[in-house]
Amino acid sequence: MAIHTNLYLLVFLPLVMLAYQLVPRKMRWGVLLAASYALYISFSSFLVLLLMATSFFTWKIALWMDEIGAQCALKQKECTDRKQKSEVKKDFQKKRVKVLRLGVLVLLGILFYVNYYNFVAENVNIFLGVLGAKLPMARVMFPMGISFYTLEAVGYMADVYWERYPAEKHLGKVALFLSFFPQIMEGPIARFPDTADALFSGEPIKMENISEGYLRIIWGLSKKMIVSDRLTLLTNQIFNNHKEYHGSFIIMAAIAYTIQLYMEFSGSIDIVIGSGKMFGVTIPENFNQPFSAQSAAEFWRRWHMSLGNWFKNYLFYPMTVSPLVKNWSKKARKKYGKYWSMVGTSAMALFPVWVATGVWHGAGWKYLFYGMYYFVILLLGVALEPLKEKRYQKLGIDPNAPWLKTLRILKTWVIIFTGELFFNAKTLTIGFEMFFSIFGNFHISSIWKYWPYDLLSEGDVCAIIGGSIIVWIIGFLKEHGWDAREKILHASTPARWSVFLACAFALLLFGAYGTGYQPVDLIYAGF
Amino acid sequence: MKNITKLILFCGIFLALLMIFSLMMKPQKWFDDKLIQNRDARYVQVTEQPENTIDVLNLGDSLSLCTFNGMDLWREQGFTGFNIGADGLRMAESYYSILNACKKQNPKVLLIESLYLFRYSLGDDTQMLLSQPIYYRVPFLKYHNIWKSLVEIPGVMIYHKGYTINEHIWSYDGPDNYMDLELEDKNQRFTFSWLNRMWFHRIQKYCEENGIKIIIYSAISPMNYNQKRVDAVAQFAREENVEYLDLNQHVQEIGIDWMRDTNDAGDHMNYHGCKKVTAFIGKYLKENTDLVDHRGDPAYQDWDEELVAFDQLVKDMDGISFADIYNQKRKYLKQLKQRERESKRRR
Amino acid sequence: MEELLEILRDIDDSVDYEKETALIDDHILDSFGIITLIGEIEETFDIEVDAAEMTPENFNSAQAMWKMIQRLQEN
Repeated sequence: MAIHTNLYLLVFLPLVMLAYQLVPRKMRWGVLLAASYALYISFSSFLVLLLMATSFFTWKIALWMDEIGAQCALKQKECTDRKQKSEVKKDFQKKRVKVLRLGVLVLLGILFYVNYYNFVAENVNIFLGVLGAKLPMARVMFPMGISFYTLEAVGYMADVYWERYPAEKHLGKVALFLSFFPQIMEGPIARFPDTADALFSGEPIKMENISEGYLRIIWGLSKKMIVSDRLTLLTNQIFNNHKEYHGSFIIMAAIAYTIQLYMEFSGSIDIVIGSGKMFGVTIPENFNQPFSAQSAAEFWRRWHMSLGNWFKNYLFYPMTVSPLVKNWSKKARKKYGKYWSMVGTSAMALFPVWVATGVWHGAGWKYLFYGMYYFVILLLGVALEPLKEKRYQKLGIDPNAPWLKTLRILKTWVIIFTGELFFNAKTLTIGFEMFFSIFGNFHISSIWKYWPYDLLSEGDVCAIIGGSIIVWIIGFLKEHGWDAREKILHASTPARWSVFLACAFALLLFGAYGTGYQPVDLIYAGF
Repeated sequence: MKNITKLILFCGIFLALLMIFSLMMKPQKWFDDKLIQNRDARYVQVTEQPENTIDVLNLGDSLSLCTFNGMDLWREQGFTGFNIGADGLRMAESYYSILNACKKQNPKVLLIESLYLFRYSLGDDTQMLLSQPIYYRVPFLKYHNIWKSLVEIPGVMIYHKGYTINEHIWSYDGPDNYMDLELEDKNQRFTFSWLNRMWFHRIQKYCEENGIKIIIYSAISPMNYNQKRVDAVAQFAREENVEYLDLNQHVQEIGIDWMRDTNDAGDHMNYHGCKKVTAFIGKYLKENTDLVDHRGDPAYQDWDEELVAFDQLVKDMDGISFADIYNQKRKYLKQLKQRERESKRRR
Repeated sequence: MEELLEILRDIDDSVDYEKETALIDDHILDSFGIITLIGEIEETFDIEVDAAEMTPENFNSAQAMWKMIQRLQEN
């Protein structure tokens, strides 16, 4: 039961809300947990046991680290001088890091096995084949959401290790944090303090939360059903049969896929956040007008933010302050100067982040390429920054001139479209074929000559363009400090209700649904 | 308490508006026939037929739509038939298609093509338990796509009593004894789910109450049928006490030319094949039912007129390929308009 | 403190570091700025900034950074 289906929105969610409101406040977290496991069972049946085991394991590891910390504090009390104290601390810190390593390795090990074992085995077998040996292939069932809850669990353990907050004593709270039903399919990846307290406190359901949640859900559904689901037909056809299409269609498909992915992913995140809001839980945002970004780096601060933040906090920063990188950077500074040391350090810290971002999406060379693509672009961005500044000064251009901003936004779009082309191509080879066909076989007129009307009729195109423009305008206004959602929620009741009803009927009228339409699966639920 | 009242009031306003919009949502009143396309087309057009003039309803998925054609049945036997099926039809949808078609009609025979009886997926069919009755009762949702007609070129698909002409030829070059072989697609089902049986019983009950005779038949399709599958349908028909006709056993008698009569290499029939099969079904209906020949009856004069237009279109559409049907038909429609303009000028 | 402000101005001189309190949250100081910054303060103040310190709270303002530096110097 995915979160965009009628069954979830019209039956499951209202029933959970009703049950939540009816039980005593102290037991409300239990309702949410039971609902989360019920939803999980509907996707992955008995693999819910893995989710439960992961929750228990995470809870235990964190407690264990805290216990060692407590022992350390006791021992420190016995010490008299400061030096002795820090010696003791070092000793215990060694123990704690072992526990952390155990926790992280087990969780990432499961994630690796589920996602990448077959891919690795396949590629290793190519080499082993020469020797006549062979790794067996595993038949793995995919536990829904494992890429999301594993990162949440690892982040929680790391934060406890760094003593950013104490380990949670209540198992149910950790379990609910990891499995909360709106988030389990597509994230966003939350940090423990973001949601855990609100989830556990059992706040009563409030009218203004229902309003806000409702508006958010309708908005998300509209993005998905009016724009994204229509584009799916077109992009599937072109990406699956790219040889039949001219380069102009490939460009269109890359743009269409980017819009489709944004509408569908940000739309389902809207549904997630709206669902959480119903229970008074504020789930962190995942998108922030990514298409107004002026550089690839900024794009990644605005797109799938929870993943970017996770990698920044748990991979990028630890890398930058790791002894390996630090030592290198010190030496490099003396040898090559400030600039090159900065570029080198950035490269060393960025590389693992982008390998991880790439393969987090799945096993396959194209995902690795996708990661490396952004690695190179971001590194170039760092390396060229000083040059650019000089150039601007020399030419006397104001770097903040509107035309320059627009140009930079367009440049970023091209980078994004190209990235998504490879991201959605069936394999890396096909990705390159499609990419090069843009240059070899480009006829702009073929777009209207050979338009696939059976996949997207004129009406569908109108809905897609109209929908995209509305989303763009609302994003643009928000970017400039006028938040439509806030305005609606604070309007008078008749005005607010009119907007609510208008949104609902617009969705019912223009959404792509009904007999003959296949409901389209969520893209990010596959990662 | 105040909040609950508010919530109920909001839902009330929503439902009231939905009802008002539904009453306004009458596609046939708003739009020209040609503007209503795709899944809605047959659904709407069957309700526009003059009262009590349809003898035979033909139900099923795309196989049924390309196997039976009311115009040729009229030419051959003088019976009136209408296709009310749809591509990828599901049981729940089909039940309501029958209710819809019988609003103004009192047919004698319901033909059911057997392939869609197999079609089933737990998730979709459970959802349809909820959604199909809603679509049937709330036209606003059923016809919500109708706004597209405002921006689209009308009449890309032209329907004649629920049949659309397709003369594209893609030969079937497989073995003639396909009935003895395994199906190409290994995922095909050979059993009927309990949910589909439940819907069939509802259809059966409705037909019994309204004096409609059900005949299940299997269309000619090497891609979709073999002996094992046909046996399963025969068994089903016996269990449900319904007449069954397997057309695959009559391929030679019908005179199917595998080089010419199929549209996509043995999956669907094109118009050439359809004409032959319809002739056979017509004979079968004449022998096995008490349908009356309406030819010459002035009340059915419009059928003769439509047949003339139909035959003209068959001639015009010759050689138009299915793969490119939208573009080709657009060109054809332009020609048609020009012709109309010229004939007006001559007058 | 003056030394720290100098390091910061060296990275980006268009910011008023004495007033700004959301250097990280508003992305005024980006990831690459942080890389440079850490290298500089470690050298200048002879401290070790480890992963546990890498939180927005520690880097959102010059004041917060100064507090962290002092804390690390004590240890």
